[in-house]
Amino acid sequence: MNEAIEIMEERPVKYEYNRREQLEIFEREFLPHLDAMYNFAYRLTLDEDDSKDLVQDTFMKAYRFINSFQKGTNSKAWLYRILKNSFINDFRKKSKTPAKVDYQEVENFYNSDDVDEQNTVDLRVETLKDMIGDEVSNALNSLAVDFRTVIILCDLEGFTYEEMAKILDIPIGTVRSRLHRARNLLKEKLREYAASMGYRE
Amino acid sequence: MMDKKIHNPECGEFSKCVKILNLILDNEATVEQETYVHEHIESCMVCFEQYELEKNIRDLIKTKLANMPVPEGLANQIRSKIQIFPHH
Ligand SMILES: [Zn+2]
Repeated sequence: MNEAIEIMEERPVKYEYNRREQLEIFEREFLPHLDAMYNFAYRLTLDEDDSKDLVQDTFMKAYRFINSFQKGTNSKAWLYRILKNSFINDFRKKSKTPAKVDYQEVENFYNSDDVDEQNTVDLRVETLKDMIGDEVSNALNSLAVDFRTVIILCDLEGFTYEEMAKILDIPIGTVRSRLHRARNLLKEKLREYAASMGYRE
Repeated sequence: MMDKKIHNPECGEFSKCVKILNLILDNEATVEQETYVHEHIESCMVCFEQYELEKNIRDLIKTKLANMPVPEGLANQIRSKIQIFPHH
């Protein structure tokens, strides 16, 4: 994994692949992630057409930057990073997605490095068992996109904190605090759903 | 907006424990941290319940979220765009 992390640094490494090699890398190392990329795009944009555009942009960029990619390294993290940057730079501006919430203050607070405060949400394991996909999905989608993103990367895709830091361009401490905050918000949402659905405790 | 610091009356190590059990569930804990939590939750019900809750929420995310099918033809659309892209 370390090689993959390095390639994602701002190092001006250039590989000289010929056309055939480029197409081969694209086919063997990039395209197999299409499914994951499309789903990541969908979880960010919550719109099928937007996801399609975002994914196409991402793969075009990946091809354009292919000479900065080292064959056989962590292409998935590399693609996620391109997609997330495209989403922020090109996409968020023109989409109907709600504006970024102001969590900076909260993060600064958490970044005092000791996340030792907890909010306990009164939610029980038994309640979770009855939840269906739509409820989980709605709860997750109701979170601001930055919070949603860390949960997707961590829980759904299984990226490490270090990989997440590279994908999101934020320090590991921020990954940790943002995740912590995101999980508490998600718990709160799940509890609200449970209450509104009349689940018994 | 800020979370209040909670001193759980039933466990003096609640905050510490919750922080570490999250690291464990994310595969980011050290061996010492794992040992600490596993020993602690054997005798502490509050922390054990918290561990189960966090674990179940992660399972919920992993198992209940439906995967969107990739639109038909998307792979080929991307391929044909790449084919006409000049060599660089
Ligand atoms: Zn305890």
